[in-house]
Amino acid sequence: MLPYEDVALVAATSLPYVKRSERSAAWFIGMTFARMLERSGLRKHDVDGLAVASFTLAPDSVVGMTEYLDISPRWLEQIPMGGASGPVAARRAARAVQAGDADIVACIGGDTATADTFASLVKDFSRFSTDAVFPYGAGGPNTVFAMITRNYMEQYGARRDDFGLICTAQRENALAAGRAIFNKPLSMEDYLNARPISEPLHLYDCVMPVAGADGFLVMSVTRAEALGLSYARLLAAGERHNAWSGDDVHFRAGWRRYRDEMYDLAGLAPGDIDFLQTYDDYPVISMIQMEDLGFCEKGEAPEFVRGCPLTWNGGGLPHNTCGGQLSAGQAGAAGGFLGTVEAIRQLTETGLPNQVAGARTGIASGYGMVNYDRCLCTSAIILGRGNP
Amino acid sequence: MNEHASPPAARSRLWQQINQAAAEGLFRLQVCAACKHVQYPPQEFCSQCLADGLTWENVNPLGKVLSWTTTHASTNQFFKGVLPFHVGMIKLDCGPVMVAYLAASCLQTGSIVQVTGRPDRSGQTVFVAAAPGSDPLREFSNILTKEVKHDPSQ
Repeated sequence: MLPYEDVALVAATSLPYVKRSERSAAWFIGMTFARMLERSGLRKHDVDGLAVASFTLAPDSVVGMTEYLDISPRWLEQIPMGGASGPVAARRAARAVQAGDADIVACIGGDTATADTFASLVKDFSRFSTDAVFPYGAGGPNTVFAMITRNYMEQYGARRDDFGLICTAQRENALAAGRAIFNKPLSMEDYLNARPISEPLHLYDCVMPVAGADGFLVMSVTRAEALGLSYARLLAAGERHNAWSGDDVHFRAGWRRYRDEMYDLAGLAPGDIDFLQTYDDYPVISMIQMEDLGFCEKGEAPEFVRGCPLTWNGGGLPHNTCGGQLSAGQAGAAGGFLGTVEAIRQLTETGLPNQVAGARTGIASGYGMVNYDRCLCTSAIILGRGNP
Repeated sequence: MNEHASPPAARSRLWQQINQAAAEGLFRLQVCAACKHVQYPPQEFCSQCLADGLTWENVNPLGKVLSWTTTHASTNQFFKGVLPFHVGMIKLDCGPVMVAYLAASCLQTGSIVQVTGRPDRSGQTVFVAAAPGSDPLREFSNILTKEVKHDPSQ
């Protein structure tokens, strides 16, 4: 794999999430684009690459966005990977910048949420799902991930309160960050006493569908420095889809396939990583990422979270430092950008209320698209602080 | 229960073959003529050897429970009226993993089950996993339709 030389990620931008919106996905994406320009001091025609991820942009696509924004990019990408889309966008945009196919790429994940967008999204999510999962209760991904969670609990001895450690730590992070929709404290007692949704999943194991958008810009380090922008450096990236398709029940995913190559490329080991932003559609998936990204061995995440504080200031492994989707809600494909944007923010801004002290490196990982009985897409990036 | 609500009726074109088999009281899935791979959910070519030669054949309906869930929430009006119910992941002896309704007596990993296709209240076939020889209609009478054209136990 070619190194990612001199690629900068800047202008981490989140449009505040709302529970419901009558605005279109194009509005969320467009307003995020405008804010990114404002933050970077660029004019819209400086942006010559655009990558978009969205579930609710139809009948438009990234192509239509160029007309809404009235820009003329020479590099255009739509990433149909949901929760994996943020790191994938960073990875592909970085290669475009390296190759000279684009100078400045805007990467945006955004979705709206009306009263019925979630219901109609899960109804038509994939052909396998329409035929063979959705008819069994129309529970959306909860049905499948409940069964993945139970299998993980039985195989590795995970308990509900282990998942609770992830959820409650993230809520602490959300309260510190001050941007999440769920802004009340969540105690372990609250977590354990929550109503069942699809056992063993209970209310606080599940993300709430919301509307929102997240984005960032990718450009060369030279350009970022010339613009006087604070930037994070892309040290390594990977994606792998439909890994271990022969596993009867999902307990590992593609990250394991490229993590060693990523750490080699970055010249880092898991112990050198200052924070981890996992894709937290369900806490068991965060555990699987901790394992597959090498923070502990397979099956050891329950023990790992029992011994390692996950809060932004707990001295352990700061994890999902803005509260993750479990506190912010899941803004469709923006959920796939949330961790990447928070990682860039941690490495480029100062004075954040949830600032991880002295953070110089971080990982954001993505996971998406429950086609049948598991999500197929995985992605991850390792970032380093750019400006000294 | 909302009498007018129905479970989701949308299926792919290939699902008609599953409906047909269920109406005949048979457990029929796609089998690859070239490599004998049993394919589920249905698709138009073999995912293993990529042969364009999947045929519908009667296969062994026995399997074991890999995992299961008890569903307490749904976005669908019909299901809101029949909660809670159990759904399992079944490893079929013939190969595929199948999501199916699961009988309360089989809520244990490793339970041996027999899978039967029956129409639900939308008229489309769903699969029910229950102890071999037991009647799947009894426990899921509020989800399945009573109008079974052919009962394999008779």
